[in-house]
Amino acid sequence: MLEERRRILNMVAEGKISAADADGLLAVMATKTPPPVTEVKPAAPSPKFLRVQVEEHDGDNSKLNIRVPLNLIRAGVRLAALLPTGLHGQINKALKENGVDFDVSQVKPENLEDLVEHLAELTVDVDGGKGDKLRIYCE
Amino acid sequence: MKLPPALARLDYGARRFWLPVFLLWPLMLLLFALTFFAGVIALALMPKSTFQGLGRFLAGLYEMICASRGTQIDVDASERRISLTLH
Repeated sequence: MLEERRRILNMVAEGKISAADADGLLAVMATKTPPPVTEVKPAAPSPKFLRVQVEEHDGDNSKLNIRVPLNLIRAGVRLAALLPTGLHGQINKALKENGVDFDVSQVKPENLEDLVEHLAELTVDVDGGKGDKLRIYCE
Repeated sequence: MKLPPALARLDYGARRFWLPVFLLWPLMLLLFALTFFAGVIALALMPKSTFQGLGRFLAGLYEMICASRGTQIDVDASERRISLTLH
């Protein structure tokens, strides 16, 4: 930037360009903005497990801690995709009867990586009234 | 090569047991072979697509069993702790 400025001033001193031209060039230089520096963040290590922790404080302070490999979820979704389409309705009905309004046919292997990627960013914390706690996250 | 879980670690209180799950592999192989031969018989009676579906289902089931490695279940009650880990 300084080098260019010096060159313009030298050209004025040598009479190659007028002061008005130099002023225009310097104005153009001033408006030029350097390219934005993008901060490259190192990629976060991909999670391998889904962790479910339940703490119950109803007298015996019991704890449940389950670690499920994400590969197992991947394999499960792939296996579910092989189920005959006729079964999807029955599964959806059974899920709805148990309070889960979910369409199994919407989970497809091609959406699998998106699902796992979003699971990686998921943390569910539920605090119960009696001090019971539920935590679901990926690690 | 993907392999099913070979060992299971069971912690019961202060005791630790290593269960040789690999001893079940021949049984699993036998079950898969029986299902395969049932599929071959079914091939003679049903359309080809059904057999292909069965093959894909068995491969998916095997993949799921292999992916269960690393699963860990801990139950920590007030007096005793039970933990099961698949290796």
